[in-house]
Amino acid sequence: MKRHLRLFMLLCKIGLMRQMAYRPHFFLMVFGKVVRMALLLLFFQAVFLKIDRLGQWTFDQVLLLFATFHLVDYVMSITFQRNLSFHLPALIQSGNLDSRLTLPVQPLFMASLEHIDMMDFISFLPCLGLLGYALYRLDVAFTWLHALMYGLLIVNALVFLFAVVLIIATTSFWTTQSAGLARVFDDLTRVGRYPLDIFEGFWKFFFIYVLPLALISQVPSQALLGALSPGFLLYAVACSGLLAVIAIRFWRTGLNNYSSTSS
Amino acid sequence: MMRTALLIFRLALMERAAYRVNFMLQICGGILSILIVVFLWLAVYRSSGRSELGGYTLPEMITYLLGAGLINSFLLTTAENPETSQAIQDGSLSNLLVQPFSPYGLWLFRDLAGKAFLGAIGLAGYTVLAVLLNEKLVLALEPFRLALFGAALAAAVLLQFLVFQSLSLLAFWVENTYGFRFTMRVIMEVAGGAIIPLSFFPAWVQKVFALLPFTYFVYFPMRIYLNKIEPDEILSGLIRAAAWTAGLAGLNAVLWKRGLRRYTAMGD
Amino acid sequence: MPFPSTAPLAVSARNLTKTYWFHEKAPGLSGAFKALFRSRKKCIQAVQAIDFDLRAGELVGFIGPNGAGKTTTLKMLSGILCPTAGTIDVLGHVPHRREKAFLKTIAFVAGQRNRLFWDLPAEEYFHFCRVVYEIPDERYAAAKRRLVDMADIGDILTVPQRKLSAGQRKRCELVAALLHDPRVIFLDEPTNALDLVNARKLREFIRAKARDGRHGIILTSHNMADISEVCDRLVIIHGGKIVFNGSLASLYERFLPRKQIRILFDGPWARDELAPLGDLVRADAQEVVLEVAASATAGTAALICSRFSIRDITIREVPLEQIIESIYAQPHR
Repeated sequence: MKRHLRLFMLLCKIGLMRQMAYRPHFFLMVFGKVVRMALLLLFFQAVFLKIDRLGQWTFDQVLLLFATFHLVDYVMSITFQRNLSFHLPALIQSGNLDSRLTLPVQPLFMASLEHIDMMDFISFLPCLGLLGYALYRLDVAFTWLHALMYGLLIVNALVFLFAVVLIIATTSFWTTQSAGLARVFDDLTRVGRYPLDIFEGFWKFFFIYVLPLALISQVPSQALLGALSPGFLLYAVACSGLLAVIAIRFWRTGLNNYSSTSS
Repeated sequence: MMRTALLIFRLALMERAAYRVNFMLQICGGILSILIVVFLWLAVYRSSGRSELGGYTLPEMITYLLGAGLINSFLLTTAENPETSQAIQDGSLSNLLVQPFSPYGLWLFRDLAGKAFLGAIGLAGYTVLAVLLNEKLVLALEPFRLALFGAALAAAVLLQFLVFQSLSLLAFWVENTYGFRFTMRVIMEVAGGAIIPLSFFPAWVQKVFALLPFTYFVYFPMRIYLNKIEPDEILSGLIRAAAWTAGLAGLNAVLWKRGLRRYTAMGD
Repeated sequence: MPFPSTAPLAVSARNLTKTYWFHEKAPGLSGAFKALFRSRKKCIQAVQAIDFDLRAGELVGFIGPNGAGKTTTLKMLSGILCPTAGTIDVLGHVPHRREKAFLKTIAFVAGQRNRLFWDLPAEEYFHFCRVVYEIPDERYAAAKRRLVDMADIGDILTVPQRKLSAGQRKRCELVAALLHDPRVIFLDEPTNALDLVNARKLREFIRAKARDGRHGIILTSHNMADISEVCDRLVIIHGGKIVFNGSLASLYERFLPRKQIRILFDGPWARDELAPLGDLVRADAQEVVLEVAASATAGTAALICSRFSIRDITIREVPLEQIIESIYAQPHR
């Protein structure tokens, strides 16, 4: 456990060094990420310039939702998203996965965390700022319990996303077309940016119970605002947990398949 | 020479076809994104109680989003094309130089093929979507307007290629062009009007965007289609787009020549 | 040189088998259509019931034609692939379970693929290995110093990998693989992409490593020099089976106790005069290579010298390539 943590810190450092290996690239990436964040905020503002609430959600509440979503999204893109969606299929195709298999580390660890995109950290920090700003504007009485639930549900959201991304990535043990599926899921998760109130009946149900993208940011936000029932909290955790178990089992199957049928 | 170009085009299409499932899924993802944004705007319009926001009625907005999605399907994704940079950096450009056609021409036609392929899939997908949403859309079928729309799109395709190609050509001097292309793509997404019409942004932002070539990618063609632009503006817009194209083409020519000289001198 | 059979067993494989199954598809659209409903399962026996031992301190070379099963065997011994049947014991572990303790005692270096970080210097990857393998500081410092010296990469440690030549990268990779002092080392075609000089340097490095006698090294190769200059023992794999397993000397003894005489003639020569003396392997206007039984070499050479007018005569062993090719050419069941 401690070794994996130490390894993770080292991979972060290596990720940063790799980006810094090319000077113009590094500064441009910083610039690019800042610009992207700024333009995102501009978009958000442009929409809300015209209205003062979205369904049941006020501007400040939607700001919280927005910040939460991007917080989770950036943690995902810093860590496992590119590794699983992009690098893993390439490793499998080229056979380079072999050299990871001979390292005395869990293959899933290397497959998920080998490339840490430290540049997205630059996008991550403003999100924290945005979160702070949203909380400041919201002026609601927060309890430590709510904050704790929020934190827990953020982790839960990451577990959920990890599980789904892993399941999609594992299909690359059998097919070369997994990148397309990963892209679709990526686009679909964008729905987590908005409150589900924008949908009517069926789709609302769908995004809460069938493909629970609501878990990404709406659920944590509701918890922070004190609007989440304990039953739902349980549902959220159980959902992610179950998905994670399925994902890891599936991964093991894929790995076994690789060991049996690759040459 | 034209025969070679067509051959290159066809081969590139076949290559793409081998990964058609991937591309179709990609377009599906794009369509899903647009659908979600459409729902968002439905809610926004509902909440505001107004029938018009930022100068766009609801049908106009939805049409805009679908159109933007369609144009994006072949403009946005092909912006990341690393083919040119990679060939320069890993030295495979050398193989291309000994062949009896210009590598630049090769990259151009391959890029066009990629755009054509994605555009075709996108068109199919968005047509289905348009049929499903047809009461909510603005359907403009006057041939003259469509022709202008087509011309604007053609300009957009060429412009996009030239912008990103000039960045890719920097690979002759810079070891890693990913940062350039990434930043440009980020700006392109918003400044092109791909996410929302540029009229939604504050005035000063709009002024800045108007100075960039990206406004001709999505915003300009869509305005023509929705008839939200004065005829003289269309003319001046097309002229300016042509000027951008000429300027960037010139830049590309200079970069290519200088870069090639450097490449062959280094023997890399 | 004969290997002391008292050294402990590092690797032991019995009845090692690897079979691949796939569905046979007839060509064309109709074939693809039929395959949807009924297809024949065909199997390829990549490795068939191989028995193999490796003792600590031995350096063994696997050689065989493409597709013979060498890399497959190597991958099974290192745990990357799961055997279809048979048992493997490497230092007391079952490889395909990929236990941490097992993985810490082995090293696997693949041929064409390099795992060092492309944009960063080798130094960074060495540090990465140190953390992954949990190498204690003093041991790491000493091992690194020694290996860097042996591989002669001291002055390129801080250069990004992408700026190095293939030979330099290969040596960096080898150092990285050996930092954690693995007991068993698997090298898959180590000199594959290297030129003569770099290949030689690599061989020297491997030989130096083998000299301290604690490691078992298995390498696969197409390159004869790797085998003849480096290995104690040679294993020829053909059609998934071990066709020969022994020292180079015993290979010469067993398969072709023959020698070749190369003659450079001073003037014309007649075929029917030379033909009865031995097998004509090569015959030009001036140069002839004659293959004779080892026992008859001296006599034949003397005869040729006395009977013909020659400029030069050389006697040599049948080249290793030829011996091995003739083994490949033998039909395998």
